[in-house]
Amino acid sequence: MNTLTLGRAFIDAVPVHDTWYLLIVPMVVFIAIGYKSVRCGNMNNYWREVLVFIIQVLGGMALLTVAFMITINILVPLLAPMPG
Amino acid sequence: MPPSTPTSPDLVAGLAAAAFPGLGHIVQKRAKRGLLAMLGVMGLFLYGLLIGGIDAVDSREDRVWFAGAALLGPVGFGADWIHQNKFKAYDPGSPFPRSGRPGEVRQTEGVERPTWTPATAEQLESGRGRPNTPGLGRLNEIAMLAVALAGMLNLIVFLDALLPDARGVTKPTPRPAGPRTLAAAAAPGRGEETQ
Repeated sequence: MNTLTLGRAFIDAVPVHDTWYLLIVPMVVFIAIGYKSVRCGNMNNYWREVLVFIIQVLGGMALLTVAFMITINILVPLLAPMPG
Repeated sequence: MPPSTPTSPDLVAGLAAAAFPGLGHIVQKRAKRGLLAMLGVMGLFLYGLLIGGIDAVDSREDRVWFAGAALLGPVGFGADWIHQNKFKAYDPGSPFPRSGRPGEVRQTEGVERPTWTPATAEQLESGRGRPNTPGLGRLNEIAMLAVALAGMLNLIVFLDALLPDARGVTKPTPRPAGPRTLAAAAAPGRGEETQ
C-alpha cells in the first residue's frame, strides 16, 4: 500500500484502518461549522453553539456505543446463552 | 423559533450559492456566514477526499453516493470529471472506464483512449503504477459519507441563501417609521440577525 505523502493527498486513500472510528471527530466538526453558519440566530454565540453541537453528537455516539456494548456483551448472553 | 414566512427567492444569491458553497451569503453581504458555510462544506468535502482519495467521488461506480456529491454543484461534478478522465481507463474492448488495479499502468500514449495495461517491473519500481489507490472497506464508506454529507449540507446552505427569510431571521428589512414599542425594543425582530 502506498504511504500518504503530501503530493498524493486527495488522490490516494489514507491507510488509517486501525483508527477509523476517530475519523468521525473532524467530520462532526465540519458539519457543526457548516450547519450552525446558517442555523445560528445570533452570530455572537456561534462558536458556543458549534461546541455544543459537537459535544451533543459525539456524546450521543458514545452513549450509543455503550448501549450497544451492554446489549451485545451482557443482555444478549443473559437472554439467549450460548451452549458450552 | 418564529414561523416561516414565504418570501420571494433571491435568485442572484441562489445562483451564487449554486456555483460555490457559501458564495450566496457573501453576495447578500453576510460574509461571515458565507465564509463559515464555505469552511464547513468545503472542509467536509476535502476531508472526504483526504480519507478516501479521489475515488470518494465516482458517478459511475458509486452512483447512489454520487447523488450526495452532486449537491455540491460544480465542485462535485468537477471532482468527478477529474476522476473519470484523469484517473480511470478502459479495458480493451470495454465501453466502461474503471479504476486501476495493483500491477496495472494507465497507458495514454499511442492509444485511442486511456487503456489499462500490465505494468512492467521498471514501471512499478519507478512508481508508475496505477494513478491512484482507492479506499477500501470502512475508509471508503466514511469518505463517501463525508462527501455526501457535504453535499447535503450545501443544500441547506443553498436554500438559506435562495430563501433568506424562510426562517424569519435573515434578510435585513427596513423598520417602519414611528416610535418603537417596548416589546420591539426588547426582542430582536425579523431581519435583525448579526453577521
